[in-house]
Amino acid sequence: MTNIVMLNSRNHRDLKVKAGPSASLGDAQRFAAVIPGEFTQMATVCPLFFSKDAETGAFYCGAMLGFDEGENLFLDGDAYHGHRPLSLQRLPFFTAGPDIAVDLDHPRVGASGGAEVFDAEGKPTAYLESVVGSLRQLHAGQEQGKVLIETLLKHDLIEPVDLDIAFDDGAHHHVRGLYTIARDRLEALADEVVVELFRRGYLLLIHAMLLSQKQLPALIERRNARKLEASAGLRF
Amino acid sequence: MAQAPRTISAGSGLDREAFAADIVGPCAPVVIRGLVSDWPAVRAAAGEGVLAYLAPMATDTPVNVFVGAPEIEGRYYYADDLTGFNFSQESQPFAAALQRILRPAGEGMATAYVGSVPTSLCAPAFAAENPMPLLDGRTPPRLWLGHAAQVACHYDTLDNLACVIAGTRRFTLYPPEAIADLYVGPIDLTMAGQPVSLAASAPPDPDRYPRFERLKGLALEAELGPGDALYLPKLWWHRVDSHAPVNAMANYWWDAFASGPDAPYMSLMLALIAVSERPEAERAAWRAFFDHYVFRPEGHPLAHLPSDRHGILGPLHPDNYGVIRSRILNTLKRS
Repeated sequence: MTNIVMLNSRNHRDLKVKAGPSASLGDAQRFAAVIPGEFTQMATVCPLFFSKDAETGAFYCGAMLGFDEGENLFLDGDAYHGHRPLSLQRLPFFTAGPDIAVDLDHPRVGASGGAEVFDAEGKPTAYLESVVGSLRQLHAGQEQGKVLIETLLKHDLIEPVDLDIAFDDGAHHHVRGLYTIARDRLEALADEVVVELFRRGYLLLIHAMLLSQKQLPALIERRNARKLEASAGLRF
Repeated sequence: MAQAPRTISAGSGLDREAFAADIVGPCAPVVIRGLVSDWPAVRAAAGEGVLAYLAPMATDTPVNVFVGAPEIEGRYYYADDLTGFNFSQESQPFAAALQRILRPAGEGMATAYVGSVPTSLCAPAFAAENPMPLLDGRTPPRLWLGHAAQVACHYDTLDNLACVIAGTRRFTLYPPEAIADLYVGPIDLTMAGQPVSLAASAPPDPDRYPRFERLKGLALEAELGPGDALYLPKLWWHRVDSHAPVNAMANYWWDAFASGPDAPYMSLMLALIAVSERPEAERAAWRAFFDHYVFRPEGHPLAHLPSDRHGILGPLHPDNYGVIRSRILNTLKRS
């Protein structure tokens, strides 16, 4: 359940939020939205794909973090390996126009060891300032992502990709509903379109996305390695 | 006269659960008379002919046709020196192969046979028109069509339900334990993918195959007519003789007792390279260990401990199968 309300120092003076990564507090996601500003950083550690929003059907960009429901292979207990997507970092806060909203039912709220959001005088703490910074970055990035996707769709550069993956433990996954850059159509683009995409910074994002697919074997290995840990007592 | 396998009649409350429990569970062959008598394919075979029934649904997916010269009389087999075969193989679109196979071969003419034809690709309408309620429907049937033929005595590594559509078929069966007395040929140079018994496939030759004589009295023989079916457990040796000018059969292959994606035969191959050329005394030691952990003639290896102390030797599912498999694969990749 969610209980999203506008954040203000009057009602939320005593609000405490546990901000760090934790499986039980919302980081156990196998696919997380990422903004264009995160593409190059994420593309070196995990595959990036487009997916469709379950409610609106609109494309969005995301990072594949695991395979099973709730499996984030970059999360190790309360430690996060590599860049933690802003869409996870910002929880339980959201933007609401110029204001900030908070989901009071989110497990991060009121959890033990939480950080204060407002100080004794009702002024934002350094933690809240950093949240505001992240949300601002995220909000701008989401808009950039929409324009990127519109541009890619205009040039018919998004195509579905189906993944059939066999893991070392014998499990098979048939991943459907992901999309990526249509490489053949990218290579057939007219020169002036290529220049336009380059000038807008999109060519770098397109190539980051294509190159990120090379991280799929590494992600599979991360999962295989987790299963392997469970057999540590077995010697042969 | 050889003994017949257990034989029952279709109907008599034989549903999917009873089939799994009473027929498949005991791992012994069972003839089920009249199981598919109501199939449109079987009724057509008795009327306008199986060719007329199959031709409209046949696709042009290529199939591998065995073609035998008249002098081999349909006995598809090795050439005398075991380096090749006494027949030729041709790839042909299934629709065209049907026309060649389902017209009787005249006197002095070549015979043809096609086996293991996947209906999912070659006759997509077949499975829905000829349903098999005893199985879960995930296994599409395969077709076996030909002039009178003798298919060499072999085994399969899957459970088999063979249903005769047209003609008569005689199955000669030997239990898996007969393997050492059957004079089994090479496991990689095969006619249709499976090793064959040389002693049970050729005319009797006690001088050449003396141990085969021990199996007299052990063989089972089942004569199947249109509509009859045979459940054959995995690893049972079977020679198949079809007698009519035109013969047709459908079969289903599935693994009734799979614990996961890994076939037992794969572990046999791994054991073969790891164990088979060690000294006899060491092999005997490994045999004791394989028996203890794998074949378990005396039950679970940790039966003397409470089940919460069984560790990785506890039930394979939900976790232990994957954990052990991960370890095996990782070791194979790194070594």
